[in-house]
Amino acid sequence: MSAYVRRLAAPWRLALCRQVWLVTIVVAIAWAMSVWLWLDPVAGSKGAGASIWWCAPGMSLPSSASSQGAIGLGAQTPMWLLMTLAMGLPGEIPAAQYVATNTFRRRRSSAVAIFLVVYLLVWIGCGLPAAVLMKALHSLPADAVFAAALVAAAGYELTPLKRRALNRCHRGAPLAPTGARRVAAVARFGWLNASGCVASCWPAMLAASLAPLAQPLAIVGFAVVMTYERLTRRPLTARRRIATSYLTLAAAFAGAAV
Amino acid sequence: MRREISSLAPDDPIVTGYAGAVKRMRERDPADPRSWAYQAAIHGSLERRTRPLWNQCQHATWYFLPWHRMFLYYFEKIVREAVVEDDGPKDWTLPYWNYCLGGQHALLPEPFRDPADEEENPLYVEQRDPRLNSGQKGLSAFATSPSVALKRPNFIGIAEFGGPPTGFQHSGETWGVLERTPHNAVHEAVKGLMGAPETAALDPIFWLHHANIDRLWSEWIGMAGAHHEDPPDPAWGDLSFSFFDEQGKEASLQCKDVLETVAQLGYTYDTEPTPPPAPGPAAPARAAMEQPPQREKIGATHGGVTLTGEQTTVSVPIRAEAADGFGNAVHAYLNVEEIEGERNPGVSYLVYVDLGRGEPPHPESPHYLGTLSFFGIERARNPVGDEAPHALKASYDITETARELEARGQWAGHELPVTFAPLDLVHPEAGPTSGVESNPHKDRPITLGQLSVFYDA
Repeated sequence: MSAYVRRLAAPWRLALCRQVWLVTIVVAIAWAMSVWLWLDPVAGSKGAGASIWWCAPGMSLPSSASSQGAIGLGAQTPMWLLMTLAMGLPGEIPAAQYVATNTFRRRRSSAVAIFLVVYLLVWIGCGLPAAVLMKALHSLPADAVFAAALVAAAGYELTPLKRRALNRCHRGAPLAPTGARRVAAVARFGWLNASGCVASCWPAMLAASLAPLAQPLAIVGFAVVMTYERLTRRPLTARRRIATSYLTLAAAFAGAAV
Repeated sequence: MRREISSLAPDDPIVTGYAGAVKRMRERDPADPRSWAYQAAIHGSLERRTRPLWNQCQHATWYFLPWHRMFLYYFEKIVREAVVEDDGPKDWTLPYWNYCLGGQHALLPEPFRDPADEEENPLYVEQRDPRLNSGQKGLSAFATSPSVALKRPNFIGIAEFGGPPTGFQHSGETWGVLERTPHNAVHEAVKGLMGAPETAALDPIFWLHHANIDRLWSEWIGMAGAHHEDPPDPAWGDLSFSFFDEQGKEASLQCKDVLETVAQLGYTYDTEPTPPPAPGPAAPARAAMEQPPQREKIGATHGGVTLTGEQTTVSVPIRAEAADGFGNAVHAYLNVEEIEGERNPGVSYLVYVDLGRGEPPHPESPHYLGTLSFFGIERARNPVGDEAPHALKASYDITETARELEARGQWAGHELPVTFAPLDLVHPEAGPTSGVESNPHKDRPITLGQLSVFYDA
């Protein structure tokens, strides 16, 4: 067991740059805010599901929209951003470390910032279609929708599309040392990672948003899954395990729906 | 006692026993873990549908040496059991191929090429480089010399003897120095099945090659006055790997179980001394348990370079403000990053730094860093089994050159020329420049994404 934990922890055996420690702290803050919002009784009372994950626009926009009326994109974006920071960013810490290490010391802060901005912009761009999809699904029975989302996510895990998306997450890119080419190279690396991450993780994000109960636990679970499959050296094993877990969970919710 | 193959007559029971065991193992059901195909697949396989413990070999990682030691240990037990079934010696041990000695030792051992018939001779493999199979030419000294590796003071590191720290890693990013040369170079030189990790262990010479690599590990540890140490880190010592024993049952060993070959595994080598490494200032050893060093980039090319078989020189600009204060750095490294290619060109390169204009490339040059070869490149970006794609990278310690250049005022703010000289890995007379020749592979180009220079700060 201890050897297994060490294997999982191997990517973290890094002498992290200061900028990457800051990214790690941002992730921790995002999780702290998420927990605080969930525990906050005022925030919790806003949503129909009585939890921040239901009232958070990014997490379950239609729920909020249906109970509170239309919520503007401006109000939704911070929550969507929070979710991205908490769920997506942990798996990107090695990539941020790659950027920092492969940049001259004086330019590390700007390089990591460019990488993060591009990464987050891509995810923010996905927020709107996610909101539309959530709205369309929200009128359906919650347990059945969640079970269907899990089955879809399980099926996706085993497709070549998923494999290609995960592979893209593992691409390195030479980072030009100076000038506009440096900025372009870092931005391109951010785009490669973000687009790979979106293509790889969107079913998990969707399923997490549709969880009808214990949403914080669901979010934690899906975040662990996303980080695990992003960092593991055994992606096929990981994808099979994840698909099996999704199907097991789907069966439980399908049973509850019936 | 593992013995050097050239010290054995072709009809020695160790040689004939091995040939008989190979034949017997090939005849076994491929699903039998003691079969030839299964054992080879534990190292690597091209098949999409895998069986337990396939595709386990550890490359470009600090587990490279212990994993292969365990692999050989269990393989030797399986072969011994097959040898005994054929009424061979009960104390049969795996021989090794000490090509490091050069001369006749660099030729492919005679039992592996004569008779040149796969039906008649289980040790013969037709796909190897025909010049080796014919016995007319041997391995180039550039490919076989362990001197650069044996000079490394540390086991752990991107440009150290054993390789960088990683988790379980079937195919990693940065080779250790011994893995790069002679390990990778000999794989590439032999060609055929040996040319790719997924097929290499199907060639009977694979096991003798790896026995020699294993012997070099023991030699490095035992070098008088060098204080070389295996990693004391529990993350290395406690990790266990599984194999199949001679009964076909799964068995495991931890890395810390294979450090003493005599006491823990019951074998030793009849080691003929390998030529000692050329005298020269060795890089200072780092405390084995210290934290990973913080790397500091001080120079990089803006673009990449494509290798197609011609001698190529690239200049790496060293940034003045970043490179100042070398006194605080322990090491300076040249990194060759994002090495990519659709196919292995079967050509290695000699890598030089600050090679003077018109100065011929030869391995005794103080500017010689080592070889760059591409064993496993086909699958790095397109892995077959349960593996994430990754880039390949080679790191070379250029500390001495950097200090020299700094003393001459030609370091910070200047350009560092890096030369890649193509090498014919099969060559009979490795003189100062022999073997270095144009060797076009325009149809199988290799791209190097970037060349960069780092300090360990």
